[in-house]
Amino acid sequence: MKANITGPDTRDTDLERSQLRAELAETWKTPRGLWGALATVDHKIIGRRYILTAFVFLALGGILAALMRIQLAQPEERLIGPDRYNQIFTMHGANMMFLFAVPVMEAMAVYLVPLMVGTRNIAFPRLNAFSYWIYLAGGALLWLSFALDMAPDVGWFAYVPLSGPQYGAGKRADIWAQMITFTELSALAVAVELVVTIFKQRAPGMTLDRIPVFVWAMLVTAFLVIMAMPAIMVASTSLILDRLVGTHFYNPAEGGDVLLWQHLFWFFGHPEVYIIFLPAAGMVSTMIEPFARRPAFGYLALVMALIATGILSFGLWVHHMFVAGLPRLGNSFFTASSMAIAIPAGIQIFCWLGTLWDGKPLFATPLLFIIGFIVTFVIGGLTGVMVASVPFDTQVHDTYFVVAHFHYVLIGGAVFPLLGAVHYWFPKITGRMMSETLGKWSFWLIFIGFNLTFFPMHILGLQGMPRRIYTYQPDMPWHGMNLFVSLSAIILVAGFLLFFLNAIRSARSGAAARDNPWDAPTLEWATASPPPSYNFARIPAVSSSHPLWNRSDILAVASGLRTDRRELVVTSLVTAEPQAREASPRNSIWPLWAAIATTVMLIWSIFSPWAVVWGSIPIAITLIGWFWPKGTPEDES
Amino acid sequence: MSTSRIASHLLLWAGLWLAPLVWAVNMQLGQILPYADCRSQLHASAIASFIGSMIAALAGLASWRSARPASAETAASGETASFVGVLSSLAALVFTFALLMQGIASTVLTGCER
Repeated sequence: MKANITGPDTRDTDLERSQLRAELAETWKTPRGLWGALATVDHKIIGRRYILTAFVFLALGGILAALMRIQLAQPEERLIGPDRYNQIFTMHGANMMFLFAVPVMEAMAVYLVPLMVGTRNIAFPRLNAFSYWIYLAGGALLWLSFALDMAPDVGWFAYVPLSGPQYGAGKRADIWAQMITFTELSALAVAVELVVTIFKQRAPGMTLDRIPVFVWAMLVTAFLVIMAMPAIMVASTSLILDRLVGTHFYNPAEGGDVLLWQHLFWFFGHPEVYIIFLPAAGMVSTMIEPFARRPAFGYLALVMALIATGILSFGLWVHHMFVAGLPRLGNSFFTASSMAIAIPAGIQIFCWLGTLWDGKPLFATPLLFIIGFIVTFVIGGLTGVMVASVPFDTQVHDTYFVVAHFHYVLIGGAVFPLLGAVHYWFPKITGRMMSETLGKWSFWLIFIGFNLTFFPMHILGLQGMPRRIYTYQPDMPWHGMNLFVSLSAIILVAGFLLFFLNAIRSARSGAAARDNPWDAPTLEWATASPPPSYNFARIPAVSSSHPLWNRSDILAVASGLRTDRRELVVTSLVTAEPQAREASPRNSIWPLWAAIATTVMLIWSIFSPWAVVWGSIPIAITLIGWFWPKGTPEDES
Repeated sequence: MSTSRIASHLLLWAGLWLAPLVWAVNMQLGQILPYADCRSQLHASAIASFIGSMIAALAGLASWRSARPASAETAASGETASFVGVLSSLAALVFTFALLMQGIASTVLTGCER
């Protein structure tokens, strides 16, 4: 790679391997200690934090689910009162969707995508650090409100007028709305980083048809986030305005419209399902290769399915509103799209089955979770086609049938692949292997426990049991099934406890992992486990879609980057031809200050509209500090 | 970039931009036209959907025909162009199917059902 250099030549071209590594380690290091931890912009450290935090929220959400199952185990149970129960189911849904499912998928991408595309850090690394702190603040806001008995109690979709000023007294709905602002801001930031990383930082030679499927999935997901999340930010902001300033966006008496809320929410809410599912599908397509010991069948079809699913997901939202009184002909368009989206989903499933059919499957724990995913997701998909039909949906709307359906889709479609992915990428992240024995035990407990817990909910729904009831009378025909569901949930909880135990134990004392313990074909396995701060001593040059399988002896690399400053290769969008060397920002404490200032402004604005005015001043100061030249080599453009 | 080069790029990617665009427009028409259908029994929703499905199919065909490696400058970019063309045409098929389903639904409903 040619470059104009005015000073001494500090490029890596002629450096010995050990000297190169030492210089890169010095340039890319995160200093030890609290300050270093707070100021780091290393995508791996931030990704790890994101993943750990998201799993803490999963555990907290799981505890709430267990409480609900204890409450519903028998009729007329008095363990939890109706007000607290409203808070618990709202917290469970909001926590799982906004604090676990979306962030954990983006977190996996924050860690893995730069490694998989062969670059040294994510694009906009300070924005990445900012996004984590904002996410943490949003989660803390929600859970602190719960601890103070003022948590949201309006359901995870906070329908107006229930959440409006007429019926939602206090600050509970405001906390829900502002938690949305925190988490969507964080998600949007990560989405922008991912798009730029994937478009412009791919290793030389990684053309569009050589991008790993997980990276494709994250690209589509990032666009979904960018297009869907502004709708919910507009919704939550206008709700706060109605509640605090006295606007009437959702007040029909003053020309507002309650259905506007449902349209805005579900225009985000349905793509949200695919924001969670598509990364999981990408993980499956990537993980299945080393365990089937062959390339994924139908790479092109898999990529097409991801893109088509992503686009179609924007044409389904009204199927959440079939009982809202819209014209039936209009509804039928959404039924058509909801059924059409089963085509790309089905294509992916046939590709995965074809890969296993023609491969030599190695039934390690990640593959077990993939198979568990296929089984549960197909069941969830079938009930999805059922509820896409207006007459059927009208009958089961707001019943436990829908609860069963979306848990099959979300746990089956996202959590199973995610748990498989944790087992698969754990050696890369920690340098240690997870226990296979404990992994298989946890899989079977989770798989059996999940199906025994959630399948009977279909029947409860068909028997007419509504969602979100805190108890029921003994003469209803539901208590036997509810007791069975609650007892089955013990198996599910045991499976998750075993998974957490395995992860903690393996991180401390698991067997040391090789660089590529699964003999996998993608670039993240071309570096050490765990990777050094600079990811790759030399940037890989790619000539196939499976660079670690198709190499003749060693991986080709590119050289010419400087070692005295953080530098990346920028490549062209379609063919990944090297175009430029670009600086990557150093560690900085300013993203943390900016996040603190933003947090103060957002929480203050729950109580006073003037917070937006006065709160923006510290934010502006922190942003000036953030972008002010620091006198480092990275300032040179 | 010359006009012919822009045109060839648009054709290559047509299945991925034109077909979804037509489908998105038809989704909006599906919210607007039922009122006209109910008043005049025109079946305008069905007509729009079937026209849309034809445009989506043609977009897929254009992508398929543009996916010829010979038109590319290098072998690598030829493979990528072929990948994009086939990808676009397959995606167009999915949108054609969705539009056909919407058209069929529009033929069995009058637009007056609430």
